Amino acid sequence: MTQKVFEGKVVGKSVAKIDSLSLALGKPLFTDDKSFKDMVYVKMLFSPHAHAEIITIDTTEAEKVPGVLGVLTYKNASQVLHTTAGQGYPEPSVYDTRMFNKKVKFVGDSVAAVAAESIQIAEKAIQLIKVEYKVLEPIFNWDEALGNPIIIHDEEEAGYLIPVFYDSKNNHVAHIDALVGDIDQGFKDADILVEKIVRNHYAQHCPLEPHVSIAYFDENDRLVVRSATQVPYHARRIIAQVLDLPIAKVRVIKPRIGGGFGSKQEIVTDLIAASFTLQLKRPVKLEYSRREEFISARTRHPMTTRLKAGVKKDGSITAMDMRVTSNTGAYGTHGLTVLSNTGSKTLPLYHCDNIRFIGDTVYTNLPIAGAYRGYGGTQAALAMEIVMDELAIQIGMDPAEFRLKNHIKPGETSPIFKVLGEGTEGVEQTIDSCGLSDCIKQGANAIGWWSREDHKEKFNTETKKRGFGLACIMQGSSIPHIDMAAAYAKMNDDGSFNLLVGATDIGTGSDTVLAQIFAEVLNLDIESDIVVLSSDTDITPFDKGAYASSTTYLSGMAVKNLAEKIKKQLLDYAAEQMDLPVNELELVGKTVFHLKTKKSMSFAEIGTKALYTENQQQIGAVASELSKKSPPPFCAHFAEIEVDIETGKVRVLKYVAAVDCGTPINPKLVIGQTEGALVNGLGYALSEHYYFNAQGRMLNPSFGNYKIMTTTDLPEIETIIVKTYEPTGPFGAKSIGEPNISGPMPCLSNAIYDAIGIRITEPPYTPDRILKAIKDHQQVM
Amino acid sequence: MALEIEVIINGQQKVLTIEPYDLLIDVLRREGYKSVKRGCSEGTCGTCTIILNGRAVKSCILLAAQAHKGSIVTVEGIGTRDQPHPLQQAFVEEGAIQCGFCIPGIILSAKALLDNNQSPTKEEVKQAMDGNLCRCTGYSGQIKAILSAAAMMRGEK
Amino acid sequence: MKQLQEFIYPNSIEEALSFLDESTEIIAGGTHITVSKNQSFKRLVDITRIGLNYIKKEDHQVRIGSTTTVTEMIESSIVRKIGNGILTKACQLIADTPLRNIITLGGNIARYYPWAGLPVVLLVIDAEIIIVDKEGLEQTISATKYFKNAKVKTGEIIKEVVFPVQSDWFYRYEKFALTTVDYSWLTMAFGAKNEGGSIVDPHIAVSRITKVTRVSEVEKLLEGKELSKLNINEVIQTLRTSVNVVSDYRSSKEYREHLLGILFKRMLNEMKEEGK
Repeated sequence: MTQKVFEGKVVGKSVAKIDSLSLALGKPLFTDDKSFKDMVYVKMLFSPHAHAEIITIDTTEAEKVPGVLGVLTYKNASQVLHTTAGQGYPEPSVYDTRMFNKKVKFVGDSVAAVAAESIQIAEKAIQLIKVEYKVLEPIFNWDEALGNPIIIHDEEEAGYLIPVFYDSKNNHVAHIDALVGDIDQGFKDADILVEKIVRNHYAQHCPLEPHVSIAYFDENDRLVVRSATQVPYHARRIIAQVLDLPIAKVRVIKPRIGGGFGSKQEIVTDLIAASFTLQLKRPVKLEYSRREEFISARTRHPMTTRLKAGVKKDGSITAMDMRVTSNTGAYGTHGLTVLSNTGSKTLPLYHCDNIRFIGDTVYTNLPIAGAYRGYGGTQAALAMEIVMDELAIQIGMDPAEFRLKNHIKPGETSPIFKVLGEGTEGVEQTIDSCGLSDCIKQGANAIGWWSREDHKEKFNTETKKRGFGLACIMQGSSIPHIDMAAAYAKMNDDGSFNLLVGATDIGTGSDTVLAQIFAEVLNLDIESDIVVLSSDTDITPFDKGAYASSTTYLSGMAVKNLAEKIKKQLLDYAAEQMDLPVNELELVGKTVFHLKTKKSMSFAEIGTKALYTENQQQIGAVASELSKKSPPPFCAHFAEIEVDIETGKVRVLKYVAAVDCGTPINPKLVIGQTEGALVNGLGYALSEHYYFNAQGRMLNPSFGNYKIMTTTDLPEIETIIVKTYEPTGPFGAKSIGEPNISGPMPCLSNAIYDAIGIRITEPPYTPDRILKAIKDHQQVM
Repeated sequence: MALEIEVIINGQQKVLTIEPYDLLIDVLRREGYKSVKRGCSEGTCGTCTIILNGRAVKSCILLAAQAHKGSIVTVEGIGTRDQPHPLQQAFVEEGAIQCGFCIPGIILSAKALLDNNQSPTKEEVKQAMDGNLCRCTGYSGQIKAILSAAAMMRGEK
Repeated sequence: MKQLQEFIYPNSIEEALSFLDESTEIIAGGTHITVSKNQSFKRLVDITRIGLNYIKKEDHQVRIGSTTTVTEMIESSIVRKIGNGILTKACQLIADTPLRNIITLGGNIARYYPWAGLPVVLLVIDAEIIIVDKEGLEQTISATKYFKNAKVKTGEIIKEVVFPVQSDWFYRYEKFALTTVDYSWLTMAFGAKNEGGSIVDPHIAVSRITKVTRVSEVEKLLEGKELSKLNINEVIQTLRTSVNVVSDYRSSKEYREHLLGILFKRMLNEMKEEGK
């Protein structure tokens, strides 16, 4: 079936990212690049214990250090219960967090903060704070947290704003139970049953710019927070909420952001910087060090995922039963919604009438998990794609053929869409665009899938074994009926436009993508005609922020609505000025043109006249969008690897990602999103790992010891864009930011199985773990 | 005890008063070279990379005093909006810049390579970039951009 | 590092020596000095400007000044002949490019950093370390002795390392790590002569899994053995029991012992192949 594709004048073209030259020139664009006079510096004291009660805390000596300006602890900081999750209001995350707590719940929990004239003074003072702890027994194993006699959260008032399950007495943060069809009958109908338990590990986003906030008072004594955030509007709301300020007294400015990947969808440094500014009336900076990022910022939810599935010999899947235990760490931020996403972003991918999903999120005394690119989908895809692989192999069908047969197709729906949403019930939807079949076919050709057995035979040696793996992934685009995006634009004298968007470009290129959508409707030049400003809560309209794969799809639709409103204004204005019927006018180049008379009026003419002389008005508009659907982008990943069976080392030789994001608004940015995510995913699968000691302290909190990939670790990578057309998206576009991070973990596991016949279900696939699996396997044999 | 160091930064002779324990990154940022970024403070991520005496080095693990009588290049010094350096131009054209936080360091590592090797292979480019982490792009656009800039600098583009 | 009060730029070894005392530390590349905690020195003496940056070829040996950077060694065609290329290979596997541009030969051996890449190379090549003492007198210490107990003392400066060039030897170097730019999980080097199919004067050195050391038990076991008749399993068993392998959080003692045997087995097999 050939699907419709969109070819635009600007949309579909790899125009240069509009901020890229400024970034290449090294302009001072980031949060900490602006100098402030009289800046105050903050350093944090973090808990050395995984679980402890603060008996006494004595800050007298610290306060005596010359240059120390203030100390915050649970005694004097705001005690408002909140969630650090930067989500829409009311948040689907539990209010279980205070700025500082009397009871610390993980190594890295906030105990105190010192503000001083210099960072060195603050560091010195931190060491002089005397804390007496009563150390409590911790819980580290998330599979043993439910109903454990150790209770991590004992504050009575903690709870959700929305009516969902919460049982802190049993360390139980969230529970979801969803069923469609008849699961028992489904298993009875199966010829083959496969059940796997997978366990994914702690890992971090690692944006190269850490969390940093600079808070200050402006000339009108309003609080301004310049912040490395993905969610300026939610940050403003939470700052106002916790510090008891009117929203109108708070302004959050998002400059250029040095990457986020979900970590900056959390309010981590804003509240402390802002608290000190309120106290000291001076600019205050809090910037996390890399070590502090690792131990105290957010991580990916580690989970235990059990997936049991049944299949008939003809390849049809009869039942899928997914059980998830998700570890949210010491606080429940994103604990419910990441859990629901594990099911909702994986189970609809394949045809199946009988599906059960039971998920539980639990507290442990380990680092806080939060939003991380993939958002549960990554975790569940590990189970899903390993099980699909195994089902195919058990019935003797090629894993690629098996997926081609079973994956959801255009015009189809999945019952899961309705029963599983973001923490609550979901929204029914039909798949209008799906290029997954083409992704699988083209990806298979690119990796040499169909000739893999010959290839393996040619290269296999006594000690090195080649293997090929495949994984298919879906995600969503925005959170339907919940998140809203808005954009505003105004026309200038010369026919240029200011485009003001709440959408938060954190390095993804969304400012550029939105400018392309705006330009496509109005025939504009990206470089000369559009000035984009994103995310300043005083200036730009509301947008939920950069998360849930919603910027291109949802904010893009808001911008398209906006451009169409302005187009209508231009036509109306020109019709009136030229005295011609508006329905005979059209935009041709940067003019309003009348075909019959060949009369035209340029945008510059309209801009100038409207502002100064004729029928004076501001041409401009605001528009917004609330999505009704969350159309999934799809991708197929293929890997060729080599396993050294004597050392256990896995080397990835080639990796292919074929992706369907609807219309690629900017193909080079699509490739960047794809490869950035998949290289992150490869690192997660192979080398990124939190090592903890027996007391729950992370042992490797540095880039020296937490290994993310560099250039010399890369396999050969090929990205294939399969164009489709999503009718509900701007010019046919869907999202692309998230799914590609979820492919490598299952894809490499499947490739390892292909190479050595062993299913590895607990990443990362480090040499010692692979070797152990090989040895265990030999013992069983 | 404060000391004075003489350095050339982006071609300009400067005498800077520093403390012996001041890190080079802090002195450069204090002097307004904000392109020098702090990403890890332990010499791993490479966002603080500068060129010192012709070689790419990480300024977060060098004392400013070590740069005495040295010549420093930061990314502010290699191109302008009207006349960007071929590397800056190629990075823009190849879409090799996402968040951009790592980019000044990466461009300088690349410049140090190209200044010593006009026609590097892809492998040599990867090797020269191995000390600069990027979490956004997956690197391939950047590798392409560096090879493309090399061709520009050889007059082939 | 707030305790640091002075930074000195001497122009000669003699001048540098005159500043050294208990509260003074030498700095060359400085990559470790700037990140390590709990330091007490009040003065730093920069030895990168005292003429110790050189690579000199002599008959059957090469002298490398202690402030020569790892990058300079990688770029040197003279260095490539040392140990049939293993010094170059070891240098290429140190850290990353911008760090290799400042890490020096002397800095890599002055302290027994467990992750340092070069000590095992010096050990298997029988390099000699020239140290200048307080009085300005040069002492020549074999690498074997140096890494056993002769750490450079306060008041002394490593001047240079002398590498013999023995092109008829078989050499191998291995750094096993999780990613290319990672601290090593296991570092080892091997050097020996193949005389008529027999192993002569074997040198085996390992680090990271234990304090850097030669493995004399295995050297003795291999001495004079015919390659074709070598019982490799016995050799690697002896190797595993002779080295006091410690575990760390990255990998267990058992895994490291296993790895040690596998890597050495591969080196011996390559020596066999090469001899054919």
